[in-house]
This record gives sequence, C-alpha cells and structure tokens, in this order.
Amino acid sequence: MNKDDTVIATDSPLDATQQAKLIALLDSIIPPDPVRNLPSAGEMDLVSYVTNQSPEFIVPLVKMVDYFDDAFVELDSAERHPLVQLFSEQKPELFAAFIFLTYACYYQNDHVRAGLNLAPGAPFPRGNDIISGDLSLLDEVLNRPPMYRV
Amino acid sequence: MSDDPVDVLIIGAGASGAAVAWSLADTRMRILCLEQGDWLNSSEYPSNSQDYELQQFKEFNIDPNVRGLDVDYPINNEESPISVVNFNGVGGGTILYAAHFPRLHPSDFKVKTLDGVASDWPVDYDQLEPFFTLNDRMMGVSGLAGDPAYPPKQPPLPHIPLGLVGETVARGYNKLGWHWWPSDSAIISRPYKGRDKCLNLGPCMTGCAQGAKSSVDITYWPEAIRAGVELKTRCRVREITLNDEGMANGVIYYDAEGLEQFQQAEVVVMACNGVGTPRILLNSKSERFPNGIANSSGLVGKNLMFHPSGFVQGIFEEKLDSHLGPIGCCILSKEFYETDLSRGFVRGYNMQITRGSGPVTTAIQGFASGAVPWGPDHHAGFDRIFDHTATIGILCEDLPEEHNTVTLDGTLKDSDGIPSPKITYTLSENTQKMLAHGLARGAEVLDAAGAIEINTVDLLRPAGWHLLGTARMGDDPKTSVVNSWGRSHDVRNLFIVDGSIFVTAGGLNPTSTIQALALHIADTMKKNLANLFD
Repeated sequence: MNKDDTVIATDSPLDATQQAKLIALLDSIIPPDPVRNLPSAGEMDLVSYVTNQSPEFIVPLVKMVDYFDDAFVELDSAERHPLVQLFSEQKPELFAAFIFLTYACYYQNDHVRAGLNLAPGAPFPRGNDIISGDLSLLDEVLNRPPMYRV
Repeated sequence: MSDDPVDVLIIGAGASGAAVAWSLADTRMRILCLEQGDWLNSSEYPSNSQDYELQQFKEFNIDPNVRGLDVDYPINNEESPISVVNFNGVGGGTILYAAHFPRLHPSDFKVKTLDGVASDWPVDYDQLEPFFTLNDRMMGVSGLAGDPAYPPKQPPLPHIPLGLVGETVARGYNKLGWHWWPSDSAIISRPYKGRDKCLNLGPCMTGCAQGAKSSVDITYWPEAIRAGVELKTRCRVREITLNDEGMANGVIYYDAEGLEQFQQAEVVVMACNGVGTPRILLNSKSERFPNGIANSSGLVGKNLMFHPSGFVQGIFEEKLDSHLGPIGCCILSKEFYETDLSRGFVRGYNMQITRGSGPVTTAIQGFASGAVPWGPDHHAGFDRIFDHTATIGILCEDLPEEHNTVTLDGTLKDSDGIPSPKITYTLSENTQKMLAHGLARGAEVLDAAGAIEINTVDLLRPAGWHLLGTARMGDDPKTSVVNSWGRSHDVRNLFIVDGSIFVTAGGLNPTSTIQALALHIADTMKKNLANLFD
C-alpha cells in the first residue's frame, strides 16, 4: 500500500467538512493570542472532550455545525463574527451550552495554562504559596474598644 | 451489634451528629449512628484531577437537586427565593462547606432583651464558651486572638494566610475606619492531630484532598469510632416509632439494599439539619402525634431561617492571585453586625471576604455575566478579571417567622418513597433592607480598596446552606419543641442537636455554634444520665 492509498478510519461523529467548520467556529469563539503563545479554541480537540464529558451534546453539536454553510470556513474572522452572533441570538441555550464546553475544554488544556503562567494538572498535591499577610494592618482595629454587646 | 437494641441512636453523621457521638462515647453506652450517605474518600475529591472545577457543576454540586445522587433526597424549593443546599454522607455539610468558622456573638442569644425582637435563647454565650473552645480543638481551627468583636478567645492554630486579596481589602476597611479581622477557619494552618496543613489548593467547596479542611469525617468520627461508636452508612430513616408510653423506641429505616428495617433504641438523637430533621419528625405520625412526633406546639418545621446572602465583587488593576488559597476563608468584618436602628433595620450582618475562582469557572461565569465575551475580546476580558478580583459576601441575619416552613411535599419523594421536604419562604422587609445596606457598604469597601470596577449580585438563590430554627429551643412547651438541652418537651427520650434548635440565626456561618450546642447537649445528657427522662 503506498502512501496515497492509506485509509484513515475514524469514529468521529463529524465528517471532514463539519470538522473544518467546527474549527472555524471555535477560532471565532477564542482566537489565538500569539503574544503569549496561547492557542485558539480550534486547536483543542473539542469533539473528543465532548464525547468523554458530555456525550449527550454530540448531536446538538453536529446540528450547530450544520447550521453554518460550507463557505463559513472560507471567511475571515471579521466576516464570521456576525454569523456566529446571529446564531447565538437565535439559539441562545444551545450556544450557551457550546460556550460552556468550549471554555471548559480550553482552560483545562496544559498549553493554555502554561500561557497563563498556571501550573499544569491537578491542584493536589502540588499546592500553592500565598503571602501570610501584613498583620500591622490590624493596628487600627486593635485600637478599638470591644465591639460586642453582652 | 447489627439490629440489636442500642442505648443511643443518632440519625445523621454530619457536624452535630459527629460531635454528640464523640462526646457520648465516654459513657460506654452502645451508640449507633445511621447515615443515609457514604464515607467519602479524599483521593476521589475533585482537586485530585485536572477537571476539578467542572465537578462543582456535577456530582460535587452543592444543590442536591442538581447533584441527584441516589443518597440524596429531592427538595421542592419552588416556593422559596432561596434553594436548599447540603451534602449527604459521613461529614454532612462539612464535606462541601467553606469552613468559615465564626461563633455566634453574645448578643445573638439575647435578641429579645437587647433589641425587642424574636426570643432569647435558653442558653447563652458564656454557657457555650467551654464547648466552643473544646470544639475548636477537636475540629482544628485556625485564627488570631484579640478580635474586639468577641470576648477573648484563643484559636488553637495560627490564622490562614491573608494573601493579596486579604491585604488589599483590609486596606479598604482601614481607609474607612471599619472593623476587619482574619477569619476563624476550620482549616489547619499547621500539622495537627496527624493531619497535614493546608496547601492553599483553593477549591475547598468540593472537598479537601489534603485533609486540611476540618470536615467531621476526619476529625470527630475517627475518634468516636475508636471509642466504640458504630456508624452505619446507606441507612435512610423514614420515621421514629413510639411505644405505648409515648416514648421513642426506635426508628424504621431503609438499608443499603432498600430493605425496610427496624432499629430499637433507648434514646433517639436527631442530627439531620434544619430541613432533614423536621422532615423525619413530620413523617413520624401516630395517634398520639397526628401532626408529627414532638409537635404538640405545632412548631416543627416552622420558623425556618436561612442566611440570605448577596455579594459584591471588585475588579482590581493589580494581580491579586485570587484563585489561590481557601476560597471562603480570608478576612471578615463585623462593622455592621450589631443592631443600629439608624440603619433602618434591626440586627445585622457579617461581611465575608472571599477569594476568586479558577480559570474555568472564571471564564464560564464571566460569559454568563458578560465579562468574558467570546470573540476577539475574549482574552482581554478574561485577563481583566482572572486573579484580579476580591469579593465581599453579605450574610444577613434572618429573624424567625412562622410562615417560613419546611413541610412534607404531597407528591415528591426520595428513592425509598419517603416524602420530600417542601420549602415555603419569603424574604422579610427587614432582611431586604439589611441586604441592600450590606451590598452598598461592600461596594464602599472595594472602592476604598482601589477596585476599578464593582459588580453586585443581589439575593443569591443557591445559598440555603444554613438551615435553622425548625424545631426551636425554649423553656415553654407551647412555644418551643425542645428544652435548653435539646430534649423534646413531648417525648423525653428524643433529642435534637442540629441547627433546627436555633432560636434565632445570628448573622454568620453557624457550624461552630451548632457543634458547641451539640457538645453542650451531650454534656448535659451525661450529667443527667441517672434521670435523663425525668
């Protein structure tokens, strides 16, 4: 079998066109930030995330992607924005659920967290250091007479 | 022990049930606790995993109606602007609480005498003080002595770090000349009794993976069990039964397999919180008590008090590392806690300064509020608030009103077919004025602290943590359900030790006082063992 004959098997619920539209849509939701090397949401594997975390959302996700016609991927971000805005106004509940999953997927990503100067992975057992605080700030309070009533 | 008769049967393994079990254990009586939930495993708490923030929206949600676990019971909140939140398991609400751990003030026990409203308690601060101190040691409480808002007290462990959030807001209070103080926190700041200190993970309200938060499954219960108390999980009590003499003789419950069982007992102690306890009492109907056991006063389920809450959030130019450290424990202010009628309301409120959320929660909640939009402004919106916020929660004292009730729902039931509680509650005019006053003062503080933007959230709906007053204490059987040491006026071997017995609510988180009261009741029971039912 030569390279051109390779068959790619996939369980993705989205075909290639739908995948492209989803990436374009996600890039409109969270664009990249090259200054901090933050990826766009389109660089996340949202389909796998939804499949694992909220499989019930796969069907609505596909319907949402199909709302946008194939030319959507050819538009630049300024042209896509009003189309996404229109969708968010027409289907606010579906759009809010999509945003929830997109934001959740994005901000759990280690690449994103690194760009935000956050440690990767779970908080425990790593932990965090915070300042104890300047207790001389309490001097004014300590000068007050007792405030409680008996 | 199995289904053999026991001397003391405790229903509920939360804050009060654990304290009373531990205290009574030294009597060497046969003590059994039935708990409808499970033991929790700290290795399974959300902060062990990357998706820790999302689990607060699912299985670790504070709302049992959202969580929907089989150990939960559904609650009808449709006739209340505040919905009940809780946790069912060994540890009860302490598993998910923020561990902000103030005591009620001396004045809270004398509201009729001092302010002419509601009723005085049949116990006072001085009587409870030894039990507050004992409870602080048992739980492991961190704090700082010297607060002028209280009589002298000495927390056993140093205070939790203020962090940049605490320092920043404290400067705002100082500018205004208002009181503030590091919070008493049921979180250990140093290694204590075999537990390691707080790591400043942040998400305390989905359980503490480190075990530094003092939930009773890791404080009281291990000691109580070592002393001989038996604790059975997945046992959901349906009703308390009576003998021919009108004394409680046990309970009917459903075991882990859903099979109906009877547990015989000489003494029954209710520790199911201010909603769970009246639910079982009202469901325990008999010829003698057609309206529910221990309810000759008609007050079981009445006078429900929450702590109506709202919050003010300030956005600061400088980075405050808001998401680091115990989210609910930082500093507090009692500037407006005591009554000043010139404010337009009686009684007062606590101001609880809290830290911020992690990045996922910040983004999701920011989308809902409009602060973190999708599109080209997304990163700027996120950067503006993440780690740049400080929040002041306003926790108002709610006065008892008989029309605020817990009753049994006519149709809604749990998975064992036991009627669910129905909450009927309205916010009083006094509380509305108090909350408005608190939110305005919170905004003043944040402004003085240098916030560049201030946003207010009025009455918070999922804020029914503190469930109080539905089986109140008192000396008069006509106007109260239990006496000054938690014993039912009607059924002399039935005790109540949870927040149900609060006469008034105070204006702050009640767990410290609930546990001190439970220890006081257990101590009084021990002193009266020879004539417990006289």
